Amino acid sequence: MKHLLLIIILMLPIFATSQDKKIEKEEDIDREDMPESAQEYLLQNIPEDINKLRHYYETDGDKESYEAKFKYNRHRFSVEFNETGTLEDIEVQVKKSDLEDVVLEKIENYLEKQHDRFKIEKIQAQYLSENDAPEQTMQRAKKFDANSPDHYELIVATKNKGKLKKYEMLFDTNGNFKNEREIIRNSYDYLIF
Amino acid sequence: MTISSSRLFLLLVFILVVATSQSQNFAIQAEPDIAINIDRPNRWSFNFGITNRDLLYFNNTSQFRVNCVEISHFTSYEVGFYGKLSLGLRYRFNELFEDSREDEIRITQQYSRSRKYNALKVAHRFRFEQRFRELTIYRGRYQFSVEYPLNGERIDQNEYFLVISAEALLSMAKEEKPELGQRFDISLGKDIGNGNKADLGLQYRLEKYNLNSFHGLFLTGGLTISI
Repeated sequence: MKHLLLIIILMLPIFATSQDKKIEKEEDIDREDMPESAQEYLLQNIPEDINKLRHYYETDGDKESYEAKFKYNRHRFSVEFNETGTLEDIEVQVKKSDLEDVVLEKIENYLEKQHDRFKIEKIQAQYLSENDAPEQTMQRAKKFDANSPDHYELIVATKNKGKLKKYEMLFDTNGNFKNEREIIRNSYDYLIF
Repeated sequence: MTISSSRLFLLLVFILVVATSQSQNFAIQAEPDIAINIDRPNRWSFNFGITNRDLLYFNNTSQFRVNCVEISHFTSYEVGFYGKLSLGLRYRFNELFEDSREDEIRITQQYSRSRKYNALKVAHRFRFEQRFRELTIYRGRYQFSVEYPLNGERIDQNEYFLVISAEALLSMAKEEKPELGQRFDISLGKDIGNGNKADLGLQYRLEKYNLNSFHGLFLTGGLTISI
């Protein structure tokens, strides 16, 4: 009986770890840790006058991806690759004022209709990779203020009947809603008590 | 980046210890704590905490003496997109450890605001407190704090983060001169899973710096459990 109890106690950590099936992770890596084709793409396509270049690895438990982030022309760029190092998309952080008035109006109209109150926290212009010419994607992203992107990705805080929720929303280039994903907010209570 | 951040942390700790331990009006105390946060799906959240304070070093001699034990509770209500209004009640057991000191009851009104800017999380905290002890003290305080993940742009499970904060305090009591105080805090935290956090830190306090100043170092550490 004693032994059985001991075995059960020793087994407990196994149950504890087996619960974490899906571990989300995002971490700093060196450029050398990226797939070779991604490294090559970055070397050949990143503009010269950039700063704050960093590399990240991200996984949601199933899908893996690599990202390079840097600042160019006072805007934050984020270049995303899939597991094998193929370019997926390039996102450029922009301001409300960088959007065309009609597009912004359409997005805000949609948000007003769907939510009691909302606050747009972040806007990224998204340029999808074209299979045959990934270099083109960087060229388009670099001229983000002169052309229209494939999508706009927004981080929006919303309030409905007093309840606060955060979403990542995707709009097309004309400001039509495409889809959304809720972002789980972390409590910040340990910072204020 | 990870290496340089932790080196910077150690350097700051070293400077703090060396700079403060040289003088007379100086004490080192430890303040471990355990807190439980209950975040309701509506706008309410509740915080319960227990902490104690131990004197480790005073008047150039090391010692160990339990100063007090404290239990506290805060009820918070979400306002706007980033704010919280809180009402707190705290009871400090002093008499248990020293007959000459009375227990203290403290009531706190608080407004806090926090927002994330890419990797950085920035929080402001305004407090007004009434401390009922031998003499009732009214205290206003403001804290500015920044949280920074040490790996990547967000804090994942088993990852470390740094919290740096500064706080200014003004205490007032009847027939007493107002007292000014300043605190600086640096701590290293770890996400230990399910939103629970462990942290270890150092706090430097400069008290009554407008009168006869006194300074102290607090070794802080604790566990925050989220339900």
